[in-house]
Amino acid sequence: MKYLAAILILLSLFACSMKRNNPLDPHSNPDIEIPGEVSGIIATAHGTGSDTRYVNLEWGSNNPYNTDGYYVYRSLGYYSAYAVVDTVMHATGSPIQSYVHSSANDSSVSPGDYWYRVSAFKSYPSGNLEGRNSVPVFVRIRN
Amino acid sequence: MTANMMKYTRYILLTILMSMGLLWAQTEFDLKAFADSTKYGWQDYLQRSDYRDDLLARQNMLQLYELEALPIKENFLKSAVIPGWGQFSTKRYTRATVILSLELVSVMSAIYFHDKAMTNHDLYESATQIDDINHYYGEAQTPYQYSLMALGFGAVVWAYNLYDVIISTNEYNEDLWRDIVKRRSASPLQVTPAGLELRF
Repeated sequence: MKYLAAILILLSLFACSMKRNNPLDPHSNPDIEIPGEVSGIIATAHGTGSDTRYVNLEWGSNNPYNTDGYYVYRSLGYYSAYAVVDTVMHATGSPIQSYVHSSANDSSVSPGDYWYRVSAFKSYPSGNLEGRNSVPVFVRIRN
Repeated sequence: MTANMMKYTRYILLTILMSMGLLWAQTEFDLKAFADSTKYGWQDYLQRSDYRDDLLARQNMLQLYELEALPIKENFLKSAVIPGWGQFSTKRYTRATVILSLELVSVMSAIYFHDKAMTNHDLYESATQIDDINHYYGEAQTPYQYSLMALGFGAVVWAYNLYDVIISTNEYNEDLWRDIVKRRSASPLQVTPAGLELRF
């Protein structure tokens, strides 16, 4: 009886695991490439008074082998929920990628404190695989 | 004269044949030996009668036992369907309660952890970000293993329950026989091989 219990517990622990059936999971699909983490983000706020306000974001290019584009996120706090602001396609051949978040296109670009972060993605037939999030950067848009 | 002699000779022969038949019959069936009450160790016919009464009393006890004894097959099936049910039938209430509780706890735990694992696995399947994919898979895998362990424990408890119900039923039947014998011996009027016995 003791041996039976031990066998059952060992079987439960080692022999059985859940299926990794997500088509974007690199553990189950060797063809999937994980996009690299975006680094070197510089965010600069522009515009005061009645001018059009905008935030200029720049970051280092990822390897195009694993990156087709970037998601730009924004939040009101470092640890708060981040929402996708826009999607930027990878500019081939350029060492620097950039994005302008302007009040001309988005009325939410208004005076205040914001945190931006960027992540790369690679497109596959089953969807876009998004890489790790970058470290958020702080931006203050003045009145 | 010759005719008379022939007639007498026939009578004599017939008489001899009848006597021999009786003698043979005596050899074939010994009435005395048949009627001898001491041949099985009884001293007289009264003792034989007491033995017969004792035999009848034992037959009655056996009938009572057969009526009240629990069949192992039936109890085995009961416990196979609901663990502890067979033990309840044998009046082993503590054992039955422990087995049923352990089984319920393990099955409920298995269901709870499996449900949790499936919720996280659904999130894993729909995740598109690498950190989310790894995070939700890990969150699904741990409760899934807990669920299997609980299920394995439940299977061990279930198997032990089947083994235990056989032991419990045998114990119950042994106790029952002892109880029937005790009930019989507790009765003030006893039929014993030595005769009727009245206890005060």
